[in-house]
Amino acid sequence: MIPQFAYTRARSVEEAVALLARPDTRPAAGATDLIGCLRDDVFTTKAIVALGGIEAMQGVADTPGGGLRIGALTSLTTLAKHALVAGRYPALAQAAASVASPQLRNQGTLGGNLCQRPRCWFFRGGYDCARKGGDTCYAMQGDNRYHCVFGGSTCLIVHPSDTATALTALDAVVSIAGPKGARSVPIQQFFVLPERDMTHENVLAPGEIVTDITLPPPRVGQVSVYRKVRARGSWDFALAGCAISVTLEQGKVGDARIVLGAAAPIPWRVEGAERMLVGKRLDEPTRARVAAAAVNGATPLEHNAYKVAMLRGVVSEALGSIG
Amino acid sequence: VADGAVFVTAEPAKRIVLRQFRPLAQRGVLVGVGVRGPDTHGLAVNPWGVHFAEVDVDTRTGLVTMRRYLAAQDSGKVMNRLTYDNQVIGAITMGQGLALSEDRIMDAAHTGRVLNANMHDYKVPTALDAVVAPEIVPIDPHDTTCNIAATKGLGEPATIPAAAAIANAVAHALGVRIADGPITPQRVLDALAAAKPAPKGARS
Repeated sequence: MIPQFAYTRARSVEEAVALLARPDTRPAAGATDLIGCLRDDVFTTKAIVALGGIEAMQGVADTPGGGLRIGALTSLTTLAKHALVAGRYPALAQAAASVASPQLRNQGTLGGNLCQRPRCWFFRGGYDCARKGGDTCYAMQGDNRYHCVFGGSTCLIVHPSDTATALTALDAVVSIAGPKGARSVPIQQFFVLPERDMTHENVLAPGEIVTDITLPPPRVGQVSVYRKVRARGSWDFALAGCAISVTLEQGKVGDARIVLGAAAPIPWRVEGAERMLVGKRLDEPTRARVAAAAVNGATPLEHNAYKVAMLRGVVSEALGSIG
Repeated sequence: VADGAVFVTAEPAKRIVLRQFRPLAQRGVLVGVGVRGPDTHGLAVNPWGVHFAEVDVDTRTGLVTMRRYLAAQDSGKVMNRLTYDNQVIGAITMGQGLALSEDRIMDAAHTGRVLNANMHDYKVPTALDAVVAPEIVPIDPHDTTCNIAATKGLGEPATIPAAAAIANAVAHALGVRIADGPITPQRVLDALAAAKPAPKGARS
């Protein structure tokens, strides 16, 4: 049941922050996840603050050094089709294009995609699970085929966002506004593991919202890619995802980022595998070695051993699409 | 309908002049109602069908992708080719869901509850997942022994071979038969792991 709530449109970031300081108030951007969470009793609310009319959180703009600033309200469709995004950060455009269905991409926003709640069927399914403040993670003993193979502890979710995986490989910075003012957080410090905070997926404090994402200027020779495996092609969360960003100099890798999606409660960077790429050509033996290294240390659960092979496969394919 | 009259194509003498239809002038709608005779006593009416599926199987990620499809269906006389094709496309898509993605998942291990009782987690193929431009071949043997209209069934009969054709294509590609449906990426990877060394012949 969707609860009754007050609905207010904010016209500025300041107004939104002031309205969100009230108790039991939640922000709405595209609201595609908000409605689902309310219907599924993931949380409830007394008031919703609509962010859609805030001009300062819209649009894609150049930054002085040749990077991009992307307003949190930018729709996933816009992101997927934007020439500057596709030209400089193909991994982000590909990730945005792979989210959900066309209708959801038209409505859903980049900020919302980063801040959406997990898809764990116990979390969504009316169980009083640890992430909702209960005392157990039902995925420990229950059907955990879609759960994590890295980073799990007292909760075994995977982070559901495709764009989060891509943005982590692209060293994005998340700008946040809140009651204590504005701050910026590198995306690798934006998401948090359950061992640090069991009931939140990111560092947003109560009343804080993401206002925009900044991407650093692409380095010389930078190439990036996002790949996703899903059970249904047109509308599905990732079973396994992978974002890779490398710089190539005369066919050899200079700098590398490899990030796994749907593998852990946060976008999961695999630095050991990254180091194996440096100075190498992206030939088949290297791709196979790096893909194997990317899943090194995975701890599959009772029902998700396949994910290790799948992640290795998706890393290998992502590398193959670059080389 | 021609020359201001409605008539039976096979028997043009059976005709009614439109002017005689007062209700038609008032409503502008003409509804024909007809019946066919019963099926011939002692004969079974069998709508035969043969389906062919071609798939890609990605042995690294377990992903099965529909490539091409041909459905030949003996459903007797085709009354309307557009709705005939649409029935078959619907049947193929239902079969695709059965073969590849639709699964009622019960948490037998722990809570005993169905975990995917919603239209996101229960994965029905959408229009974007349906195989593009399947070949649909009506086979009409003019079998008037079955009934006087030479008609058979279509909607349900065409769903029956679809999942099996797709599963056969996957087995042909992999050299490994996956007997439990749906053939999800997980089942493909689990089957390949169980059948090591990995077979050749699938797309790499």
